[in-house]
Amino acid sequence: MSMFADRFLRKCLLGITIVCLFGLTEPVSAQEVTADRLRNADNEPENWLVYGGTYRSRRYSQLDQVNVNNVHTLKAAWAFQAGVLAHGLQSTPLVADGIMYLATSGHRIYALDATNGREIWSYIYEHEAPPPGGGRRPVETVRGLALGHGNLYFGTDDNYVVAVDVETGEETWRTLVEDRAEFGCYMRAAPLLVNDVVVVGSRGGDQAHRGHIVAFDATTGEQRWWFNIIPGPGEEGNETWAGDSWKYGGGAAWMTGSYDPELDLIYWGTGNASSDFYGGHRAGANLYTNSIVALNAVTGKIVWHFQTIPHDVWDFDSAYEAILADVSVDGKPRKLLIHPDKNGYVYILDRTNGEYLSGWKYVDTLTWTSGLDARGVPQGRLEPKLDYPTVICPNYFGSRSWNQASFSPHSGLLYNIGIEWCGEFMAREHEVEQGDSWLGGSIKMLPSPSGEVLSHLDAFDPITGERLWSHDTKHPLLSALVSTAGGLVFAGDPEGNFFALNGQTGDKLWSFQTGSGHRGGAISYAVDGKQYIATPSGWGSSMANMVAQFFPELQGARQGATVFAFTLPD
Amino acid sequence: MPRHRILFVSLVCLLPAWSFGQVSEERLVNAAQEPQNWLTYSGTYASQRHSTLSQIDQANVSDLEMKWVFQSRTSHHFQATPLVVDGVMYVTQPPNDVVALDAETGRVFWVYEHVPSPDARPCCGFSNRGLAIQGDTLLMGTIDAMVVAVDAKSGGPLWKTQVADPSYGYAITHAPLVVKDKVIVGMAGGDMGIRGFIAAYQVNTGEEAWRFYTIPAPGEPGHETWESCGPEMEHCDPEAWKTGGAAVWLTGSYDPETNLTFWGVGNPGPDYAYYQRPGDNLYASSVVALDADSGKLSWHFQFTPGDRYDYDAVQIPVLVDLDVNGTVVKAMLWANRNGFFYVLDRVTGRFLTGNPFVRINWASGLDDSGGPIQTPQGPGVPTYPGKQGGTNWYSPSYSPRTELMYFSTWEGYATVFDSAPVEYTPGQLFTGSRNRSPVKGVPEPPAVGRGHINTWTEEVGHGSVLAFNPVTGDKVWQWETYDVMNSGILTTATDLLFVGGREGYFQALNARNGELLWRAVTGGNTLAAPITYETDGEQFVAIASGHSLFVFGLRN
Repeated sequence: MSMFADRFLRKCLLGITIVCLFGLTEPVSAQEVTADRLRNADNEPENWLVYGGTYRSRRYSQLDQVNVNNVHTLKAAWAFQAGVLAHGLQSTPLVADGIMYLATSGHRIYALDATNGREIWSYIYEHEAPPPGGGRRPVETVRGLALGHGNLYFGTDDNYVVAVDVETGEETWRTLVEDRAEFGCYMRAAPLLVNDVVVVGSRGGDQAHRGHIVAFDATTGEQRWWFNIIPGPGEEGNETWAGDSWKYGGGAAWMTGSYDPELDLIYWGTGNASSDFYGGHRAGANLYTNSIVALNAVTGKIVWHFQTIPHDVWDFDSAYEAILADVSVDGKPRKLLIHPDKNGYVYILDRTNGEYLSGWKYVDTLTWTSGLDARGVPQGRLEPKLDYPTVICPNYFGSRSWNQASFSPHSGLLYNIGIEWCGEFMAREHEVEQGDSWLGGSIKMLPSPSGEVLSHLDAFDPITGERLWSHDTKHPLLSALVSTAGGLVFAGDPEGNFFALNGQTGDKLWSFQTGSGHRGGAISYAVDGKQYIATPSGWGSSMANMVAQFFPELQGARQGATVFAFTLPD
Repeated sequence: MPRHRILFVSLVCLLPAWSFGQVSEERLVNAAQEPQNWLTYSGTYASQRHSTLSQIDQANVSDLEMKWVFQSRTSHHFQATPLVVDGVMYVTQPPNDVVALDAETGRVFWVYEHVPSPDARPCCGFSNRGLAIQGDTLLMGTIDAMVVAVDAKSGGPLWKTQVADPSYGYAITHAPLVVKDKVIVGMAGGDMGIRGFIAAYQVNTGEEAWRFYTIPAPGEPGHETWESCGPEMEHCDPEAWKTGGAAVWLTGSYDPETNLTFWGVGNPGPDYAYYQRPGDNLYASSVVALDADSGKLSWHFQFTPGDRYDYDAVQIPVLVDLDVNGTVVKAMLWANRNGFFYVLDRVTGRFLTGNPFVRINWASGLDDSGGPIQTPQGPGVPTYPGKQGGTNWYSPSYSPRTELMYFSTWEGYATVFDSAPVEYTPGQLFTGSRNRSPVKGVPEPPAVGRGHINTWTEEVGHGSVLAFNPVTGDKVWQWETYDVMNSGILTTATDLLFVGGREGYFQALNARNGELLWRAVTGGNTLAAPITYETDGEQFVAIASGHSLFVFGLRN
């Protein structure tokens, strides 16, 4: 018996302390999260095994203990203060078998007892080399983790994929994807673990960079396949790039994809073409930028694609989530992919073949296109002009931040945030070297024509785009949403309020002041039959600073980095 | 030049007009009569950190729940005690912001930001422990050694006075104390070779009213305790008093009856190279009693003469009228970092009793006048208590109901002291070795001091909340923790004791027997001290923990 255990036991026996009653219990060793469990994550609603909840990225919990009738009694069960406040807390935690795994800024991972927030282990990433040019390395954020094969996986700001042992917090392996100093790319998004590979995309779409989606062996870290988002010479799609523009054409896959085990397809959103606002040198549609791509999970080969914006000149990306939903359309069950895009539209695709079914606007302030045609192609484009300012809506931060929407099969509704604002775009042509920042112009942020930046959280019929209710918010919400079988939608605001809405009506049912704005993703899980709602709280990021330009009260708003877990009183 | 700005987080007009009564001298003297408010750092001038509020009691304390949270904007330790005045909470966040919040909801009314000068040389982080208020004027000491007055209504600046040169390590980290028309502050920087002092400023104008140096100058009484150097005294510094430390970094107390204000004074410097400053080194590691109007020394008591352990005497002077066998003794209770619990006569400074409350080997006991019989340990031998002491600056509480004093302890904890001669360089640490305590070989935890600093073995000690009978010198009960205990303590009229700690919990104990009644997980290290207040008929308890302030109340 260890000295600690011995003393622990003695103390309990003597009754000197009651610490023993409160959580110095050994955490139950987690069952390994296998590929099977990930495929069947719907069968274990008590866990949150994948960044988007399950492979479907619905951010929906089947748990219903907390519901519209009792949510007003929700109370904080515990708080965990992560310590690094830079950029706030942008991540979505995972929970498996009573243990929460949390990634924070500064490339830290914590394993916590999900019932009381007690730390089981912590891990801090050590960079391979000092930052280029020396000095202090700026703190970067990590938006999430993948879990499986006995490891947690994340991507780093020096572009490594790292595996950390889920039991011990020891690093298992790290593999360099591409040298950041040379290529200008790095990672923030949670990887996606599919079968025996861990799949990552990289940032770098605003640089002279060629985007990719890459798979590594989950056990060894060896590269298994590499999908170039921009096809090379001889590959189909390369003809959509003028000259050599394909070499540095952007197309970053900077958020996390989804997976359909039955079809064995991985779905991933890709970012803008580069340079962002000037496309004169890259005539053509610029495949596969601004697309949803479906890749074979074993080979990484492209099976289909749908491009939301051919030849993007607004930095609109399409890197946001791909929600997989099985919904009846015209009486016929369809395997759908719901994709809310930065450009202000929600796209509904058939995920078996990429067929465009519908597209509808989730904001009112949208001028970059006059509308989509029957194939989903934007018409009547209002583009930035060379060396001349043009007001276009939305601006390059988009009609919504990357923080994800939620689809509830319980209500059949899509819950999504919309921001009404604009920007004054100006394109500029300039030469770059590989890896350089390459915006190709500039932008001035503007409110909507009403003179205000408006924001709302809405419930939509995903097929028709009919808005069932709209909940106006004082500030743009920059948190991800989560909906539950208890009929609830949870979101957090920039002022620190974490709140629950009735998923049917949009009525606010509960709210808690967490002390810092919300920038990450809330989840729900259960341990020992008790449902928890957990939310990161911590304001920060460049978009948060941008939003604050319009709201003096958010200037200098407090950063934070605390996870709160809420539950019903006993 | 230090800058400031005010962030109007909400419209100022949202501050309810009724919420501003002038916090008069009379209200401060009688603060105990308005328990719904928390008007001074320690609650009242007597610094008992005890509240007569009783809504939260033994029966319902388990229904306490988190009501709201305020996360400070930096990850510096949040060490402040808030003030609450008629429904508005005022608190500082590091480094030197003043924040006004709705005490009921946590909604921020305004933030006043003082940007400290880059010349600031804090020894130990950008700490600030809180505010004082008088009238509608909030007063804050800054890490760059200024006293700043802020309008409690608008958050606008009223005046700023530069008290000392921060580039020499002078800083103010504690909450000021307002007595009548003056605000009193002391200088931190005892590990930086400062010459400490306590000074008073006019609340209205910021003009200096008096200054008391905690190291007497040549010709002043006490200067002889900075002894001259003999020819054989290697490393002895003939001008040691000029850089002798004796800092003041925790709020004092005040006794209106005698008009004396009491302040604990820190270690002499250099901390460990004691041979550079032979003698008792007054008024380092002492308590001084000053006339509040003139700053003249009335009496002093030195706990650790010639302190070579960095023990300081930086605790809250707790003023209690003790009943000793039917006689009322105007006492001052002092659980000292050096491991002894002292009872002094606060009128005269006379030593009454002293008893060890942790394992001690630096002294074999106290003599009749309270002086320690020092037994320095040889090289390589652990000294008990270690450099952080048997307790430290964490606010204690005295309950007039139980007649017990409650404080945090570090149990069975030692440091192997070493020492090296050190030359004074302005603005640099001046300690003569680091003596990195508490435990060698244990890595710093990654988060906000949330992790354990010891490793749960017998050798490195643990902590406790100790209930101590000041009259008998007995330990009445002890509530033990695995980690060392560094939280302030609050007691209430329902015999509840609130305390945080290093393990990330905030808890309520039964003040009569130490039974744990309730606990919340704050996920942060708690160095600060709890307060309680009432607004709209609802009692709240607040504690800063980690980088956040948590407020608890009963389930509605």
